[in-house]
Order: sequence, then C-alpha cells, then structure tokens
Amino acid sequence: MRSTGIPVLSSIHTAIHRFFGILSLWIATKAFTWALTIFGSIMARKKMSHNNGIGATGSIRFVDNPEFPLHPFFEPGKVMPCRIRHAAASFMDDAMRVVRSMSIKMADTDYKSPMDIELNTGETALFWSIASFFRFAKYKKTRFGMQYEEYYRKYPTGVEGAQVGMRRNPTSFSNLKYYSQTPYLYVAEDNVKRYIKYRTIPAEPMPETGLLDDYDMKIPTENQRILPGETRTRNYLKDEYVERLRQGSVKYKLQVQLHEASDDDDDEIFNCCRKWDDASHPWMDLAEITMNKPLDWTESTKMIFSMKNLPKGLGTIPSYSIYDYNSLNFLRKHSDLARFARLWTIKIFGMPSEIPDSEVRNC
Amino acid sequence: MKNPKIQSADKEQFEEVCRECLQQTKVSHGPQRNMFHPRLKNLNRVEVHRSRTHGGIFQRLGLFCVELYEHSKRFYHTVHNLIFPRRKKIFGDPNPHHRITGHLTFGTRNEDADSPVFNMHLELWARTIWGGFRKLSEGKSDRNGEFSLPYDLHYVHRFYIASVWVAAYQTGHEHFHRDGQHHPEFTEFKRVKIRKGDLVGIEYSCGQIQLSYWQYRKDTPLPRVVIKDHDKDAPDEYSPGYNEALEKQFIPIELTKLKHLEMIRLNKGLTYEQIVEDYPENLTVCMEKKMPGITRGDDWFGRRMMNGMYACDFDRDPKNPDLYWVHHHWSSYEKTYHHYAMPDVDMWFELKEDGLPKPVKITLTGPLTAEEKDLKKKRTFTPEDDEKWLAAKRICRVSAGLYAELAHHFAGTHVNAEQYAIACFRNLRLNPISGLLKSFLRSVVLVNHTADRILIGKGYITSTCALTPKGIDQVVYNVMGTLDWKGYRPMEPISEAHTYAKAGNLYWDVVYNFVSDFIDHPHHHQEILDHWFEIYCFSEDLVNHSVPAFLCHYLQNALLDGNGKFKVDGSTDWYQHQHRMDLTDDRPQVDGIKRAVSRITDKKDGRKVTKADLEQLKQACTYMIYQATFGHTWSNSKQYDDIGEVLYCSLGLRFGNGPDGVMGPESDHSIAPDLTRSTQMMWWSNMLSRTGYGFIMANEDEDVPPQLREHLEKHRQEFADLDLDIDIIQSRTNI
Repeated sequence: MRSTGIPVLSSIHTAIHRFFGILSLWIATKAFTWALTIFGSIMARKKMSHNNGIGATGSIRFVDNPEFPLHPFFEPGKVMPCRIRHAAASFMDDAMRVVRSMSIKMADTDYKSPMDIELNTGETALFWSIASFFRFAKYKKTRFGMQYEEYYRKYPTGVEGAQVGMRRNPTSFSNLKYYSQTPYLYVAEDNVKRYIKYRTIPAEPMPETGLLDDYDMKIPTENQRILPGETRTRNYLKDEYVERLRQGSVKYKLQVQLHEASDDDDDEIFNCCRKWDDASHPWMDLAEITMNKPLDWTESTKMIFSMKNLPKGLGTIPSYSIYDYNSLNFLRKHSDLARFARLWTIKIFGMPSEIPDSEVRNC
Repeated sequence: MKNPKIQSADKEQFEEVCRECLQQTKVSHGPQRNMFHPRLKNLNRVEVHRSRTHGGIFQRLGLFCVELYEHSKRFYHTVHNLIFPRRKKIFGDPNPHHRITGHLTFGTRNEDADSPVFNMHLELWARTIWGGFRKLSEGKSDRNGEFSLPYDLHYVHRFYIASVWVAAYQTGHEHFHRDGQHHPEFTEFKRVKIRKGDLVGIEYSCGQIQLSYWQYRKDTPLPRVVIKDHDKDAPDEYSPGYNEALEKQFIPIELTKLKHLEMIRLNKGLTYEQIVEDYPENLTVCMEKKMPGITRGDDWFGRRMMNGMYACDFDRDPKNPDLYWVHHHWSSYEKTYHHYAMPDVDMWFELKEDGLPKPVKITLTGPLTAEEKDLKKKRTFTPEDDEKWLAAKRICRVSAGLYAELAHHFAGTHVNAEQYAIACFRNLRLNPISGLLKSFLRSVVLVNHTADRILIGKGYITSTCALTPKGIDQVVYNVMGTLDWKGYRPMEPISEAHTYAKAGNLYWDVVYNFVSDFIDHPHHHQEILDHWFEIYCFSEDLVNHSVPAFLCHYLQNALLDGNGKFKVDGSTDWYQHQHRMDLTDDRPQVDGIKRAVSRITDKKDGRKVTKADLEQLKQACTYMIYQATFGHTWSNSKQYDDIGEVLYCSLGLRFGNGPDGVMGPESDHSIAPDLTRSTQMMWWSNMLSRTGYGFIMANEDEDVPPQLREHLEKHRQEFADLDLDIDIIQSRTNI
C-alpha cells in the first residue's frame, strides 16, 4: 500500500538545497553587478554589451481583438508613447557579424516606464543560465574581431545560438525579427498562470535580411570580422535607420507566444536555447509599434532598459540557483546598479564619443 | 655423441626409451623463487648477452628496497580501493538534457585522425574532497565515435565534489568466474579531465578525443602495432602472474649463460659438451645417453622432421609421387656468406611400413665452403655417402630448425596472431566475439615487440646464420603473404604415424566445435548479429593492413595456369593445399594489390548476414584460436627438444676451417656456432620452452572459456595417444 505520509526528509533535503541555491544566486548576482559597475560602468563608461546602437521614439498601440486571455496592462486599443533602441550586441562596427537587438520602452523617457522588453535576433540564445553566462564572459578573449573561441568549442548549444542569432550585413534594422528568448510570467485576468515569450517582426511581411548563408556558416563562429572587400561603413546600419525614419515611419508588430503552466512542466520549457513549438504555441499579435523620429547619440546612450519595469503579473519567473534557466532574467533584473552607475559616470566625465566612420575596423 | 654408426634399434625398445626421455625432459614449472636469485622485471628486460637482472649484493639490497616499495605501493592501492571503492552505482539523477559529449577517433594529430572509435565504453567520474569516487554516468560511443553522457547538474556542483573526468575504457578479455559468470575487463585507456565549473548544463563538448589506440605502425609493411614504451605506453600488458612465473623459471637459465660468457671471456676452456651439460637435459641428449648414435640415424631424422619441432610440409615429389619432398629456399633472401653456410635444401623421403618418413636423398644448392662462390651449384647426397650423409642431414636439421623458427614460429604464429590481435582490439567490443577471442590474442604484441629487438632484426638470429636483418624481414614478409584463415585446416596426415598432423586436426575439430557452439548459442547469436558492424570493421582492418599475397615463382608456374587460376587438370595433386592458402579463391584487392588475408564479411548490417557469413566467422575464429594456442605451442615448446643440443642442431652452421667446409664432421667445432652463440642458443631454446605461463587447462588468469577446457578434457586420452599433453597447450602467444 502506498504511503500517505509526508516525505519529511525529502522536503528538508530540497529546502536545504534550495536555500543554498538561492544564496549562491544572490551572491553571484551581487558580485557580478559590482564587478560590472566598477570595471564597466565607472572605469569604461560602457555597458557590458549593446553599446553600438540607435534609438527612436514613437508610439505603441495594443490590438483591438487579441486572440489570447488579456492582462489588464494590455488593454485593447490602448496607445502609449514608446521608445526603442536597436543595437549590435558586440563590437562597434555595423558590418561585422553580430547579434542585433531591439529594446522597447513603453514610455518616452530615459528610464521610468511601465514596461520594458529586451529582444535579440535569433529564436534561441547563446547561453542559458547565470552559470553559462559566466562561462560566456570568462571565455570571451576578444582579439582582432574574434571572440568566444573556447566557449564555442566547449558549448555546441552556444554555437547553434550564435548561428541563428548573428546577422551579417542586414539591409536595415527594421526588417529583422527580434525575440525575447527567455520566458516571462503571464498571469492574465483569468488568474491562470502562463509563461510568455515576445517577438517583434516587421509590420508588413518582408524577408528578413542578414541571415547567415552557406558561406557564412563555414566561417568559424568565433570569427565575426567583416568580409574581405567590405565597403559598408562602421555606422551604415544606424545611418540607414535614421534615413528611413526621415522618409517615413517604421512599423513593427509585437507578438507573443503563450504556454499554460502545469505542475509537471519540464524545466526545458524555461530553456531559452530551445524554442517553443510553433504549432502548439502559435505567435499572436499583441501590439503595433510605430517609430517616427530617431534619437541622437546622446539620447540613445542615456536610455536604460530594466526588467524591474514590468507590470505585476508580467514579471520574471522565480529562479532557485545559478544553473536555473530563469536565473538569467534574475541577473538582468538585479543589475540596475551598473546601469545607473554608467549614467552617473557619463554625467561626471562626459558622454563617450560617437563611433567614427574610420578605417579602423573589426573592433 | 659417441658412435657415428647409426643404431638400428629394436622398435619397441626405441619407443620405450623415447617415452622415458620425453617424460624425463618434460618441462617442469616447479622452481620456487629463491630470495638470493637475481630479479627480472619482465620479459622485455631479457637480452642476448646480459639480461637486465640484478645480482650483486648492493644491487640486491637496493632491489629489496625497490620491491618493498612496490609491495607497499600495491598494499596502499589495495587498502585505497577498500576504503574508496569504485562502485557501479550511478550517483545523482542523470538528466538527458544535461550531457557531456565528444567524439572519439583513432590516431594522433597527423595520422588516422578520422576513423571513429565505436562502442567504446566511457564513464563519467567525480572524486570527493575526502577521496571517494562517484560514478556520474556511463555510456558507449556510437558508430560515428560520438558519445553523450547524461549527468545530474546539481549533483556535480555539490561542494564536496572536487574533480570530474571522463574516462575511455578498453574492452579487454573476458574474466570467467567459477560459477560460470563472465564479464569483460574494462581497463582505463584515456582520461579527460573536465573543470567542474565548465559543467553548466545542456551540452558540454570534450571535442575530438584522439586515442592512440592499437595504432598500426607505418614504418613496416607488416601489420604491427605501435608500442611507444613497452612498460608505460603499450596497448596491452602482461598479467602479474606472468612476470613472476617468467622470473622464477628464467633466472637459473640466465645464470648458466652468464657463467659461460664469463668463462669465455676469461678463456677458462669452456667446451661444447660442457655447455650442453650445464643446461637442463633435452630429448636428444637423453636419447643419446640411453641409445648412443640414435639421434643421428635416419629413422630419428625422419621422425623429427615429421613430428618434431620442424613439422615439415610434406608434399609429394611432382616428378616421383612415391616420394615426399621438403624444400627450403634460402637463396631468395638477402644473405652474407662470410661465415655461415646457407644452401638451399631439398629433402626426399619415402614412407616406411610404420608410416614414418625415411630420408632417401638430400640435395644442397649453394656454397658449402668459404671459397666457393657458385650459388647454384647442386650436390646430392644419399645414405650411401656415410659421413657426407651425416653432414647433409645436419645441414637439413639446421635449415629445418631455422625455417621452423622464422616461418612456422615467428611469422606463422607471432606476427600472424598480432595482425588478428590488432584488428580485434581495435574493433571488437560489444560483439560477443570480443569475449571469445581476446583471451587468446592477449600479450602477443608485447612479446613481438621484445622479439624485434633481441631475436630478429639485428638480434640473435642474424648473428648466427647467413641471413641479414633485411633477409629475415623478407622471409617473414613472404611467409605472411601465404597465410590466410579462409579454407584453412591443419596439415593433412600423410600416414597413421603423422601424429603432429593428427593432433593438429583433432585440436582444430575441438576448437571448431567450441566456436560453433559459442556462435550458435542463443545467448550469443542475436547479439553477434546486432553488433555485426564490429565484425565488418574487424574484417576490413584485417584485409586493409595485411601484406600482399605471395606465391613463389616455382609454385606459380607449377600450380597456376596462364590466367593466374589454379590448375584443375590433376597436375597439382602433389601439392598439400589443406593447410595452405586457397589458390582457387579470388584474393581481396586493396588499392589494386591482392592481399593475403580474406574478408570475413562484406556486410555491415547484421540483418543481411547469411549462413555463409557465419560459417566464415566460425572458420576465422577457429583459425585465430588455433594459431595462437596449438600452433604456437607446437613450434615453441618443441624447440627445447630439437634445438637443445648445439652439435645436433643449431640455427646456423659456419663454413669451418676444414677442406670439406660445412660438410665436415660434428667433431670439427669450427662448423658449429662459436661458444658464445652456442650458449646463447641453448639459453634461447630453454627460455622459450621453459618460461611458460598461461595454459589452457591451468587457466591461471581465469580467462579461458570453461567450455573449451571441457571440450579438451574430453579428448585428453586421444591427444595423449598422439603424444600430446593438453596441459602444455598455451592459451595465448606470450613467449
């Protein structure tokens, strides 16, 4: 006969492990944040990544008839001011082979906002937890436009993420698809717990440019250098975006994918290196984003996007150790100190200079 | 030898004396290790001149300390294994989403780097801060050499886990327990350390792991394995019992040799008689003491040529089918004629009523004195030639002895077994055939490695006969080109007295039945088919690395037609083909060259395997076991009987100082090898015959399948009737 007793020892065991897991999570986050603050924000006045970018301002309008249970924040038809910032994840040369990003702030401010979303190209990521992110940082070793060689050698999942995420010479930021990759919490009006992933696509259907072709796939992943004979300038993509906005508005669709939470969910559902099946988790329209005006270098650089700027019920999923798939968002959420330290340093010591269109490439 | 006149002895008396001498000179493995005896580390320490033993008082004291250290180390390891056992249990809860992956290939950076090592056993281990071992995962590499070991991410990051590694294991021989259970021995082959901090979930790749695993040598056309360091970096190792047995049996022989070398150096009047006297008595010495002159007689000559170490290949004379013909063709090989005579030898025999052969004619082709230069001069001798006939027989004994050593012993068993051993260890792991064969193919590569240095090449043989190192290589190469498992059976007996051939055939049938039972057994049959890919790869490695097929010009003309096909018009009936390469079969071609060894199968998928493939597998396995056991035992253990008396037989004869050259009498000691080489030859024949370990029936290492021992035991009396004691049949070629 099956026992109906409470597995006390097992529960104590789990509690102890969880306690130490959360403790290590907290310590790792704090240590990383302080290190980033001192060595990145204060000494270099730079972000850890995504320093090469361009911002824009416009509005966001939620769809009238959403196909999914709504959260109160996503009021149908609601229009809000909006800023976005496109960037390259690494390097200051638009013609290099890098992951591109789009960060959305549902407010026309530098920081305060009811909701911020950070997205990158590629449906899957290069790292999946704080532990793997630390390995990613440890094995960076940038030299002459090449980086993460040892990381890619040890972690084939990182290679896959890089191959789907990197873009080579896209014609515009506006025709790329950007994904949140990590899932977030979604508790709608019906109080059913779900998880959500976001993406943005061009409002009008158009082919995505910059995808790695067969030739590019043969180039080692760590080699992000520009192609021989490259004529595009270091700022060509930002310049194109500015010019595009001068000629008219740029529109995007913000879409979501939902997964209903259940007790027997495999942890892999939180793995940002695995995409959710499109058939069982279709993409649904959430909002339309319209950008009208570009922001200059100063305004673009001063913007801070934070995971603390999330409405209740749309926040990050709890995590219990540095190996947890949800620990990445925990780290992002609790590293605002580094972001603000950068701003303060900029105020004191001045804005970092714009990226010149020089002949110095691959950096 | 007292009386040159041949004694025609009463047959019954002769057989009685023969039995007595065989019993009296039987090798005993009884000597106990004396604490005052010098010590020998392993077979690789033996040398032709002075083996690397340790004899002086200070050396012995030092060695005592070393042995104490070695014993302490073994004791420490034993205690360590007791306190920190390596349990089979897998710790943690391996998650298939968190894996350690990699790709195993053969070879080193520049060679053989793309061939995958499939079905290799791998284990993921961790060690705790207090020394305990934790097995985290195990698995096997797939057909492409790739492996994936799931592990528990949270367990591996417990604070007390200090180090983590992946180990690749060589699947060795089967170990049979008394209760019939058997399991393969896994020996750690390579260890790849992993930083604990690098295990962060999902997939961690160890990349390509290259294993210098049973690599084929590139510096020789023969299929030989790379051994970088015999003691520290070899793909195989002797069992501990082997080294102990070797030492206790070998040391007395070594001391005798050292005494003789010292006497020679000090010119203390050492004689050939004393050399023979100092070594243990062999069969011919014993026979001579009881029946003087008997071993120089024609009857004894024929008997030993048929059933002794020489075990000659008796073909009928194509010109006279009533006679049997034995031919040794040395003129095809590189020689120097400064000191040693080495004519081509042709012997003709007729069968007596009792079925034993009797020599009727001997032809020697080549120089018989140092002054002669004509390499083609033929001289024929018959029993009427008295002293010359005796001398001619002596030359024949020496020629047959050398041929037996090089062709039958070294090439036919040692190098032959090595090519199968390499292919077997490289490719067979999960297939039950692995367990069937590996016990018999162990150790051969190590002993061959030692033989390269001290026996062939620039070793002993080249110093005691006219062959150069290149000439010896040519002999081995050509002989290997004639050896194939397909269609093989032991030599067909030419008479009822051909006990060697009868014993060989009986043993072959015993082994074949054992192999058939093994392969057809329901426990094994399906698994053999499931892992048939290993057999395919084994076969491919075997064929791809075998030497080109060889047939001498004479036999090509005599046996093949204009199209290179075997003649079927009856003109080849004189040729004994049962134990030789099947010339009716097409040779497999690799890179346009016809190879000696045939394919066992051309099918990769076990579902397409036919009865013919299985029959070929049985044939091949029987061949391998036969050659590694009986084949080697016969040519090795009988050395002592037939080349254990210097003046009776050696591996070479000098031209001598007399007018008749090598045809002079035995009393002309300028013909026999010099004293140094003589004592070395005695040392060789004793060492190789005496220092035995690893017998099928004794089963010291418990690695011989019990079914084979049962099969042999059932036929013990039949073998005894053929003068073969099954207790002396070795289970592998290790000496």
